[in-house]
Amino acid sequence: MLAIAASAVWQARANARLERELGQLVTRLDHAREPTSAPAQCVASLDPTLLRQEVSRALTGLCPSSVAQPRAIAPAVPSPATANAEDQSPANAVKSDESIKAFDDANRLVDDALARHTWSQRDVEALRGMMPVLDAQARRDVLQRLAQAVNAQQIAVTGDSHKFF
Amino acid sequence: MGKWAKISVLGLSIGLLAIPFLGKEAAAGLKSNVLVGVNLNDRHAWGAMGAARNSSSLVEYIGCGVETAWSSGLFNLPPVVTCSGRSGNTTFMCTSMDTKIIDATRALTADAKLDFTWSPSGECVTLDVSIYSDNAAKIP
Repeated sequence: MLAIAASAVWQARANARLERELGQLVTRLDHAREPTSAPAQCVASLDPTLLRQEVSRALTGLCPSSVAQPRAIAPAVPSPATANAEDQSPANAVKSDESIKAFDDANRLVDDALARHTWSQRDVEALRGMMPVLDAQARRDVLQRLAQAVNAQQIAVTGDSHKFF
Repeated sequence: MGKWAKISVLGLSIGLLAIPFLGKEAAAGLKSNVLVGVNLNDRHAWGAMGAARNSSSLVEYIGCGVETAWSSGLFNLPPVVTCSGRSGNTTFMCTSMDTKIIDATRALTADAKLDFTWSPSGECVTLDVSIYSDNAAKIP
């Protein structure tokens, strides 16, 4: 009887140890499936276009003859429209002072229109004059800003009905 | 009854007989009159050129324009399309440099119906141009 009881106790302990080990293995397996570390999240908000403009401006100032050098920073995955626009543009080049000024002026034009809540005929003509000087990305940025303002009904179009530039 | 009176009666009779046929011909065929509409929440606008033009509203319009700039020494600028419209007091627009969108705008005609959507950033996402017989023609 004593031997049977001892055997039962030993069996129960062995089972408990096996269950513990099995539990540890399952836990390790679960940990192994989880990503080792959470991906870093960028909390800063940087406008790549503005950054590019500023870098270009600085480089142009340092080395004016480098105007046609290839752009060092390119978006990792450009949108189809961006990719298309840049394909057509040897504008993979440092921007000229003229185009940077036009970009600044065009943005100021939109800012002023937002403050006045009006896109007037004078704004239409001013932006039209800047358009040929803006590169593809700058044109896209400025027109999208204008579109967002119009669609949010933040500015009323008072000029020639359907001309925005 | 005199000779001229007989001719007049005959002409009048022929004219009266022709009226039902003329009426049927004028009413035949499906006709639509799609005025300019917009849903800003869905970023979706639509409208037929003829219907917008013939509308009693003095401000209603819809359409697209393609701007192609002279390319300077630095930039070989791609064309930019801008689609816009107005329905009541609501003006809307989208813009794109995508070649497929630009190609679609080239299919626009004076009697076409236009339907487009845009992204939150204001970029045209879809552009549908349809030319069907039921579209209203522009009345000058």
